[in-house]
Amino acid sequence: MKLLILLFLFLPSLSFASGKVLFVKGNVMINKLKPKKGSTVKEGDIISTTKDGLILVKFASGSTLKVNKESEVKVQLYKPENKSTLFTLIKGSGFFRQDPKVKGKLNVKTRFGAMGVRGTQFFVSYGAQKKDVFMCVNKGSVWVKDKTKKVTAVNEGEGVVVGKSTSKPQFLPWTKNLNWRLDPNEGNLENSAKIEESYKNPLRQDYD
Amino acid sequence: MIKIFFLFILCGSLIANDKIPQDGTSFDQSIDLFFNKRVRAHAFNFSTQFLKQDKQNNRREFHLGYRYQINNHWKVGVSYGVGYGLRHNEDWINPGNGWQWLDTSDRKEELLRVFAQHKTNIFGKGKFILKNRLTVQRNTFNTQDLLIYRIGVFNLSFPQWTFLHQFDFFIPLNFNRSKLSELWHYSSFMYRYNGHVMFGPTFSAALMKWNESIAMKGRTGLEFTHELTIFRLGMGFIFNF
Repeated sequence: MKLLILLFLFLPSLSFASGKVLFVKGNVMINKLKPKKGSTVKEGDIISTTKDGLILVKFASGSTLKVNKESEVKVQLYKPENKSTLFTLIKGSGFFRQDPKVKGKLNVKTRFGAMGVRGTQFFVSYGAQKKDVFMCVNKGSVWVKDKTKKVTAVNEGEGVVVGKSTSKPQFLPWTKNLNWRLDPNEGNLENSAKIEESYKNPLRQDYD
Repeated sequence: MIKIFFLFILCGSLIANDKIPQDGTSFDQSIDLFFNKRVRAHAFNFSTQFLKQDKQNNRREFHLGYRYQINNHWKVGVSYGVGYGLRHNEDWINPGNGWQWLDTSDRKEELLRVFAQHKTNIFGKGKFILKNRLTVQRNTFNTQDLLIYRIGVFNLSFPQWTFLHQFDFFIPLNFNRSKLSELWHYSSFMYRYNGHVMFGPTFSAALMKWNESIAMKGRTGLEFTHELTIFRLGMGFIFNF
């Protein structure tokens, strides 16, 4: 009986100790194992997708992660007791959201810098040549710290390119065309908007 | 005697008016196509314009251009173009049956252009962009040189739409007595269909001016400034590869 009670107490915290797969499509691996809806994701796990892969994972820390096709993300750190999550974007791109109702911390690390956020939603992608990273913010505000240790605040609707340094935040209207959905009940989750489009600096665009 | 004097004045002015083109208003239509291929800092483009003009010959122009992006703000470019249906001071002629405009619909003219352009965000961290462009054009047909100053504002607040308003000042360098030969206001509302295609309606209002030709002044001693007010509705298409 005592054992049963202890188990009941443990089980909820076990589910808190990991993230949960809400949606998976195509070729996706978590540590070389094929996940399905309801699978758990723990600290240290590497999520990788190929050409047609897409996966949505939600964590009790309030963080939600959508890994796009041909991408790889590592759950570097997951501390549900502090409600803090650290992801490393190893390749490709992903959408990241921190639930504003859950007072947690979400950080994303890349080869070129780190990004941190409270209560917001943003997108990070390596450039086609992998020489830089593009980041844009859908809601809220994100800080970006690059290799020069400079910290840049990027607000809603703005984007930056992070390479050797961070570009000035620029309003990029076409980032609204990215598929920001993080709830499978809202419809298609796949992002078909070209990332290169979001890179485009409007100052360089020709209209005549 | 006074009546005869005034009759002479009236007849004289009537005869003079026959020699001067009448000012007026023209309602025109246009289609503009702009094809652009960018490779890093280099861009190659082809543009064409078809004009159905109420008070002038129908006009068409084709331009082939190269642009170099120096940095985020500065760009320079050159282009070669051909135009048909352009109208100049020398086209006001009298072939024997009265003064009239020469039909230049099939007359080919070559236009060489070089420009420098500056763009900057003015407010909204990129929602509003100010553009300044200075173009020098040489028309090899009649060696007329033109300075064209363009100033415009882009509104990029909406993800699917770009609104553009610009003014063009055409400053003749070696022709026309008028300081400006053309003044244009141009608005366009471009819909971003996808990353490669944009299209939308365009609206222009302009004032064009012509003066007497050197030959006409030599023959008649007359000077005039002929003004045409133009309202133009059109469609623009931009293709980026």
